[in-house]
Amino acid sequence: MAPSLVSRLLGKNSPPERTASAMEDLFDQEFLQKLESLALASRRAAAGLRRGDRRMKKKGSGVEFADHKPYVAGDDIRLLDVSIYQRLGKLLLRVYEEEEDLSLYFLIDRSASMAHGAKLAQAVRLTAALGYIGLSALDRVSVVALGDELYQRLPPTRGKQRLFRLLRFLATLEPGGRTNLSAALRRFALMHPRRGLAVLLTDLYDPAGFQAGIDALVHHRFQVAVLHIGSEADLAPSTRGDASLIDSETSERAEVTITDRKLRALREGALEERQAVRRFCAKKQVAYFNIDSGAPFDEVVLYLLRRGGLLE
Amino acid sequence: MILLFALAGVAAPLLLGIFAAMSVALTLLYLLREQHRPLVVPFVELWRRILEKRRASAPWQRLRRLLSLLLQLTLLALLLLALGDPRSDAEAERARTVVLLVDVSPSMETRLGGKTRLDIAKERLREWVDTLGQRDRAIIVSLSARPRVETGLTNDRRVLLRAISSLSIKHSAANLSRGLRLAREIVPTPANADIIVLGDGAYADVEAEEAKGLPLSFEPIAIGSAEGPALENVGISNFSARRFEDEPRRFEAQLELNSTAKASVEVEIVLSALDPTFARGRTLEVQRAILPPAGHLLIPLAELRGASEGVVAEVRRVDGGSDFLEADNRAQLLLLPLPPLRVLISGPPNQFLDAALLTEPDVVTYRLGEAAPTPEQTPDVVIHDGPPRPAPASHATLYLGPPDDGAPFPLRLGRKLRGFGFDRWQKDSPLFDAVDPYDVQALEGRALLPGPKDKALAFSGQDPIVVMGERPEGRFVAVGFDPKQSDFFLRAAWPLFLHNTLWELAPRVSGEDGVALSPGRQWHLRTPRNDPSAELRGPLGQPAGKQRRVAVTEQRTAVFGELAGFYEIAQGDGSRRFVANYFDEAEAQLLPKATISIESSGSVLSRPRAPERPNEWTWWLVLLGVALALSFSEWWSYHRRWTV
Repeated sequence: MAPSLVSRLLGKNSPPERTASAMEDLFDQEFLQKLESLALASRRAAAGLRRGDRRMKKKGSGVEFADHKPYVAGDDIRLLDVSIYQRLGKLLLRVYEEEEDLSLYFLIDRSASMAHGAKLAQAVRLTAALGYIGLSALDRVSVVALGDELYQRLPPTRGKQRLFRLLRFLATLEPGGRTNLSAALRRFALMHPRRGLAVLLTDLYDPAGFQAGIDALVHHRFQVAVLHIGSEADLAPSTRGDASLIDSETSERAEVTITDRKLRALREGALEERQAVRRFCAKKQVAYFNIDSGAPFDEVVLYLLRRGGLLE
Repeated sequence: MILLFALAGVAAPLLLGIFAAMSVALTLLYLLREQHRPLVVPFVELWRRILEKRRASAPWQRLRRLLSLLLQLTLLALLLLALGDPRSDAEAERARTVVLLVDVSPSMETRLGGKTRLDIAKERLREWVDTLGQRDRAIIVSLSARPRVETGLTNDRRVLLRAISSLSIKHSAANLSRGLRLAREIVPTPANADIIVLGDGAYADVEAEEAKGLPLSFEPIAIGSAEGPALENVGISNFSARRFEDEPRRFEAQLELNSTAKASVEVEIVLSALDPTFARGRTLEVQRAILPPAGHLLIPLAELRGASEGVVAEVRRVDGGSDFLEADNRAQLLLLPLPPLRVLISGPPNQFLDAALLTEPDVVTYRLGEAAPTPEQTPDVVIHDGPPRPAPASHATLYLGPPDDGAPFPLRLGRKLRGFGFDRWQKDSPLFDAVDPYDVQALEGRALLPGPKDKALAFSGQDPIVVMGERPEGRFVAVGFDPKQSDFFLRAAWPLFLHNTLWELAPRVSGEDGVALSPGRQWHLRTPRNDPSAELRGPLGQPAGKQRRVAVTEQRTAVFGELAGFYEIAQGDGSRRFVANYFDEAEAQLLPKATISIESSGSVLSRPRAPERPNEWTWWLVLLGVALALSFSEWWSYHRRWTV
């Protein structure tokens, strides 16, 4: 069989065989072609493409005027707006937006529950796609795999040529461990002083609750987007009758008689919980997207680009 | 329900035992069913929140589980009860016991309109079986010389119908009295019992004591008119053979025919010789005879030329008259072969002697020094051709010529003879039967001096030249001259003289000579060896033939014979054959009739009432239906999670 595009691109410094194989499974040639077309789509969506074109709402010493602020003692008098002073007699300082490259953090929940319904695979594909778009736009892209604490991390990297480093990292991710989003996200915020867009890809199955973690990100002034990945398989087991449910992360047991009626109630309950999450995110000004693990990733990415405004 | 119903199928204690055991097993299985199947889910907490909402219904869940168990136990009880075949007490009281006595004697073989009487009787039997109620039981007994129980008392129609189909004619007259005694043992109390005799009525009257208290009835089977040609019979009443005394290898036979017709009857007799398998035959002789009215005819068959071991005689009417008993139209004869005469020749090769012996089909010859055909046996006759030499012991000896000096010889020798012949001889002696030795001239010889008990059979002048006698070592015939020193070999008298002498000296044959046994009796048979068992095969060459092992005690066995024909009893490589013939003049005289009289009372047996099937309710089917309905509803509810 002819080597895949990934194998050829990996060249001499190819990682161990297992990683290569995992990459081929996850990112085949068709996947890479879709990535390229998505990058093109993102370019069309973002006008005036140039280096550092994405803006942080951080005001500083850039060249583009942002606002005025009253002068206080100690301010740089070079920034006084003379024309204002001449017209109004007030001392106002000109404040400029600081232009810098955007830091994109992809926070992937790799707990054991993400293995169900191929949620982790969907998260990895979305990260690869969005990461490639970020790299193409010369943003600083970093990936952090979350377990009950920080688990694995791809340091910030930039440039399209770093795509395969990103892909190799993603291919090494394997599900396992428990979910503790609040601890993990709090620690992430403390470890990453450089603010940016934090894209959280998770199924939000956290016994301790996910709210504290998102609060921590918002508190540390991260722009947060939650990609809530769900799977139909989580709510539709094939078996019926008496069953002993075993939690994939905690091995906790619960005995239940599975009936169609209960499954209907379960789906309704899950829907209500999603609505609650959506309301929470809206309240915190956090972008929220509900994504099905079985949905084609390219369509999801286009949706995020066009309608979600994730990468504006 | 048990109080109102009795169980006709599996007994109640057994059913209760099964129910108890299966209930325990079912409950255990039910408890095992509560062991939940493991199912790994990503987030149990989500499920738990749903369960919290539904916990309020847990007692009802337990109740439903209990309900489901009760449903299973009810199903089990219904199925077991159906297995017990419950009947109401009223039905139980109506239950009948039917004893069906079927005549299978040869007269039932009579063909009327394409069917035999037995075929018609079988149809009637099937009707009776069809009308048996669910609690009724029936037994089939075939009537011949000895009644035979074909089935046990059963309600199983398949068993009864199978037994009816396997009924076949037995070659012995039906003994109704023995059948009734057996029926009385089967039905000790007459309540709700029927004893039905199905046959042609050709039985002796029933004694009043035998029929007393029995619910007895008689159903005549296709007897036709009481007065008419259909009631005539022609048959063989005897067929036997015996060996010729002087030539035991030859038989003479005698055939005796019997007629019950009121007028003379012309018959054709066909004699056939069977092949060694007794399956096929070839015709030996066909002759016609006229039987006197209601009389016998004896037909001698002086010599069965070309007959083999098995001979069959068949007789049939050629005047178009009827013959209701077919079984006695055929008789068998077994002509047991004797082993050949073993003759040992002592002397130089002699083509005249050899040529004369070649004409003897039942003689096996061998010379001194050659291996005997059967080494373990002594020769029957030793022929000393010329001066006698030492030879093995034998039953008899023929000395052709006087001995040399000092050689063993049973007689003393007289004077020497020269140029002599047979001047006198005993014409009534078997040795000279059809022999005229007057022309024989001898060159030289010796006069023989017979002992006191010896017989001088031929003389030259006054000198005996042929003497026959007996010594402790055996019988002998001595000739006073060597035939090679005479022209005796050239005379026609020589082979005749040799033939007569050999068979005179041959051992006397004794033992079986093909006497026939009679079916319907106990056969006491001698077996070839003293093994503990033997295999009895027969009737040979007939479809009804079969094999069975029989016990043997002191080289004898006893079996009850049912069918006429050829039989063989074998042990290892040894076997003996015998024949059984059906001759029953009594049955031939007993004409079919529509009634059976009870002796000394003047009454006759009544006809049975017409078969009628009782109107019964099949409870087990109802129970099975209810069980199925419950099972279906349980399945329906289970899959919709009502019951569990």
